[in-house]
Amino acid sequence: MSNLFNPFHRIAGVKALVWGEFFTIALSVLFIISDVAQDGFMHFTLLDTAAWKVLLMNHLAWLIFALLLYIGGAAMSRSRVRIIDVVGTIGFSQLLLIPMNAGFYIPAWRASFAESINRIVTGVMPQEVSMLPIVAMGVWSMIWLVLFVAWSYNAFCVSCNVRGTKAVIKFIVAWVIASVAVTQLAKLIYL
Amino acid sequence: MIIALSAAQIIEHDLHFIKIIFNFVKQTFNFTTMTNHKMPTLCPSCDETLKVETLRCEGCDTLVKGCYALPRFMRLTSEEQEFLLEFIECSGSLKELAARRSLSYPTVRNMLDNTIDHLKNIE
Repeated sequence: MSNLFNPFHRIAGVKALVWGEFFTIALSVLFIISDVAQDGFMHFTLLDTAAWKVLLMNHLAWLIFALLLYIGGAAMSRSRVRIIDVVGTIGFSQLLLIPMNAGFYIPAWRASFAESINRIVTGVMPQEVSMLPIVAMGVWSMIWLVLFVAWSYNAFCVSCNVRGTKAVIKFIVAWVIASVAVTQLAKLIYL
Repeated sequence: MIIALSAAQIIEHDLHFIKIIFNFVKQTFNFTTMTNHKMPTLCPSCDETLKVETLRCEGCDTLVKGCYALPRFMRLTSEEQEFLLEFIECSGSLKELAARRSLSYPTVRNMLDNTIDHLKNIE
């Protein structure tokens, strides 16, 4: 059970980095096939864009967050922090982004979700729009997002040997900075 | 040279021999019991570090009484002691220890750092 929330007692370093790269490429391929793009740190949208842009954004989101955690962890840890452990474990957490965005690649779900969104955007009265696909997508994504937060926080704790209030604050700060930075970069890249 | 022993001396000699056998059996039994139990290092009622008051020779049953502080190693938790022994067995290689325990490298490194911190606090 503990492995479900913290697999990093078992995997880190180069092995996690290789898996992280594999998961990021797999996620990018699914995004390219389904015309999805990452336009924020934990924000994804339906967007038909160049494959290299999707690949670049997915990598940037991972690396920026990992680097921010490394800087925060190295500053407060009494252990010798290896950047490969931080980048690797955060990379391994990218696995959760694949099921998180399942609603985008399952055709029936995607179609009903897109239709509901289109109807709202085109000004159809909310009571005439089926909210079920949107709510289902929200709940589904939220479950995986919570697990992603748990994994990435545990990745930070294990790879930097930090814990407690200071670690939580540094993690939140890294998350906020990454959110701002990735959103700004997405605007530049998808222009 | 022939030494004539009295009946009393023969009985005394035999009794001494029986006593040695008895002590051997008793010590073997005690040893088995000891290895099954962890040595307590903290007081169960106030959590203060315990001290050794009596030492016993298993060969002749001599008791030494005093007040001896536990060595630093003994004041670590049993998990930490096991970890350090295993670390030495791996010639101080964290990578090897991680592979042996099926744990990631940063996990064993954190365990070592936490043990070092504990040792420093014991000082």
